[in-house]
Amino acid sequence: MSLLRARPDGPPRLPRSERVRSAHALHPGVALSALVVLLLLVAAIWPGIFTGQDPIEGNPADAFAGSSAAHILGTDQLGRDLFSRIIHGTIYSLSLGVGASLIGLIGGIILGVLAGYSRGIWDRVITRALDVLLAFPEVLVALLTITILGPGQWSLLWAVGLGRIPGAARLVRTQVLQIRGSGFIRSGIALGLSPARLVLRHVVPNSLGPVLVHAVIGVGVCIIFGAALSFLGLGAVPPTPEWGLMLSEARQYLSIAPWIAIWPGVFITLTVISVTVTGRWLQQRFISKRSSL
Amino acid sequence: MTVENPEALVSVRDLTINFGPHTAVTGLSFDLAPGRCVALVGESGSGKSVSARALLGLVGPGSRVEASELRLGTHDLRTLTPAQWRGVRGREVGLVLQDALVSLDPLNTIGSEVAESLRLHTGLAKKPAAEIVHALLRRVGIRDPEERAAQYPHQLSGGLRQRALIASAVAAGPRVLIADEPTTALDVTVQAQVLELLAELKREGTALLLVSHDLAVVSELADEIIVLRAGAVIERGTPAQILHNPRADYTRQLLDAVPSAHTRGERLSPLPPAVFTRPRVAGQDEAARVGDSARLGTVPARSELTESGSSESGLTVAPTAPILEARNLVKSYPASRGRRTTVLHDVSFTLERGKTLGIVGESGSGKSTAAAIALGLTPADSGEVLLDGEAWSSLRERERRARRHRIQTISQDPLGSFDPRSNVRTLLGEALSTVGVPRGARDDAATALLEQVGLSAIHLGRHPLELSGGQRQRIAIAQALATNPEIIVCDEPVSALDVSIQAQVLDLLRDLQDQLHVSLLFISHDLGVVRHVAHDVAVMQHGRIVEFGETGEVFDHPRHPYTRDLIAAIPTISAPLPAI
Repeated sequence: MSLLRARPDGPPRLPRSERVRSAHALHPGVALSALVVLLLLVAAIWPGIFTGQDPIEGNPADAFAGSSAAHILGTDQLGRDLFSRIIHGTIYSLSLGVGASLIGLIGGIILGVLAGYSRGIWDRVITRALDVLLAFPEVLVALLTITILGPGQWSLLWAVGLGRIPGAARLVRTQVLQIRGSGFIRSGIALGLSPARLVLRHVVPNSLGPVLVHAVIGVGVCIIFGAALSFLGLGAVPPTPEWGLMLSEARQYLSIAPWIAIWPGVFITLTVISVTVTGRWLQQRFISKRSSL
Repeated sequence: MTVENPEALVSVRDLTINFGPHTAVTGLSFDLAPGRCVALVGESGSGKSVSARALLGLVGPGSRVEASELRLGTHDLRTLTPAQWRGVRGREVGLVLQDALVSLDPLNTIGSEVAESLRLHTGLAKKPAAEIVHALLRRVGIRDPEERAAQYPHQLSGGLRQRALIASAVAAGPRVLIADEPTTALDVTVQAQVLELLAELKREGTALLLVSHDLAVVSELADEIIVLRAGAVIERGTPAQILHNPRADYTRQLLDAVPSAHTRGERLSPLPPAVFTRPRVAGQDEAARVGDSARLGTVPARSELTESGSSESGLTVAPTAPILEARNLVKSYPASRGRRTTVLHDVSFTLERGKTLGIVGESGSGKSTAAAIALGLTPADSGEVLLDGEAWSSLRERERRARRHRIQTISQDPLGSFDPRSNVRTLLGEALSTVGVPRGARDDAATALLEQVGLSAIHLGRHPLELSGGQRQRIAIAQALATNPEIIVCDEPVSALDVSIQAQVLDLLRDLQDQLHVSLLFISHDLGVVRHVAHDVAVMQHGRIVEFGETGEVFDHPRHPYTRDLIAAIPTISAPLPAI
């Protein structure tokens, strides 16, 4: 009872609608993140807008040059322009983050709905298989995938994406179990709706809230994890300007040209933070608002 | 009644409460003396709860409370600081809320719940407090208080929970008790016990402020009744005045809206009757509808046919067969330690064509399970349900689905039975799609349905959350009518509604039955409602039907002791009122 606070003489609080709106208002941090994400997207699609220099071919004579007018962020060990490499690397990180998260989302929805709605033997098989996968560390699952598929961008995508499926599937399954017992599903059955319609139009859309949050946060997680695998030499192969790989190559020169390592690191961090902040905001603004109705 | 009363514990003069530009209460005045009870009565939005909360400083954020006097004992409630409020709440004035399951902390035993309030205001140590807690629990009528004090709210029945809540409200010995809909969620026999407990507290000198939508409940306790509507006082007086000689039209309307023995066959609401028509549905599966259309043509004659038991007719189905028949239903659920709880023991009932069968019982009596089996949503362990003399519950879901349009349902909580992502258009459109109404014709058909239930096309784009409780229930009825059903299973269809809205919905259901000859299986805990609507009634207790018969017969000459208890526990406004 003491949870309720009344302040008859205190300053009047905003009516509920006002407070809800201000919660969705664009916070400066969110605005900044959204701007960064927008710039990253442009860089990923048209890297030429930001830099005219070649990310692959360099001039060895310019190796380890510091920041200058010609090379804003300096050059790396082979004399390649660091800024150009980072800009051209954007597409790898972003597509990996979004792609792997999508794989996790779609795989999770399919398995989760199958398990949750069918119950019975399918549920047991799928849930146990997911439990087994969850028991392994994610790195191990990724290593196994890459060992089977061979190194490269695509295997990296699958390696990261597959690791997202078990968590997503569990979230979906729990939601489906809850939704299928709810009043409107029972009333749908009583109305005579077909099972396909019930699942696709009612159970699935109402079960997606938590897994969408999982996927949105997952974009950043996948970018870091992809960069980490590339760092270990399991992802992109030289001379691809992938940020994790660039970090890995730069670590030998840390004492003489620290910026070669620092800048890719800065961009990884910046990307992950901006994508996560923007994603959370989008999710709160659009997804949770609708599902709370 | 506006005379200054120095004896009063509580004095309220010209109480006005605003939420921003919205006025919730205006000009409410009353006095409350020890051992007296003032009742605030009204429907949702009348400002009755918020007025009571003003005495606790719990009106809520964004509110402005003004009064020329707002006094509790020696405290001027208008000038209290938050810290002073905490000293008043619990110690000077206790609050009992409607839903004890929500109002009690699920992680606290009821003993510690009561002790918390006690120790907060008395500073007692744990040990001595425990003994007082047991005494308090015993005082509110909880037997074995030592044992019960160690239990959690979910382990207790609704009645025990409400008693525990009252115990915690009176723990610190407040002289004023505010009871906000204290019996609304309770079964009728439990309600009678809780009212008796409140009456006892009143006799012991507690000043009681009772907030309720139910005039009958209030009439047994109150010394003064204040009828509120939209924040304004409509009428005030003693129970005898208000109940037997109301001056305001609104009070009379409220009284007329209460279903009871006297209202059978009468309209409860002042609204004109609704007009229903059977939809002419194009593109429907002809094979499935042959029986219906044959029946449609003979509908007016049929109810007479069934009554006289005559079977001469060209119908495809024998007209003597009841539309729905449940035979020897048994249902059990797994309980702890491998045992099973049987919720239905050999339950049989029949629903005659065009009639209403009421199933009454208290919570846990198995009436909702019986409804779910009748709807083919839950399989029975044994026994079966026949629809129109043919197999129904024993069908496989695939076969049943083709016939589901014949039996529809309205639930207590339409909000829960609507997909939260749907608006009215999609809700009705989907129901229409199950009987093959083509996409292009659905909006027109949906509009026609809305008009029949007293709504209009402007509601098509609305989300259920934007509608009032009564409007939602109308949407649920429209949805059920979309498939042109022969039976509607109504599971507590009016128990979440205000009495005047309940009256409208009950009238609507009756119009619908009169005009469309739909058979209703009407499940309710409210005996007054069932007595008003049902032709036949089945009384359920502990999963058994203890009495089954024609409504008048069952209510006037109950044979089973449980039925007699139930009927005796109904609070009635026609009961002789003791002059206090």
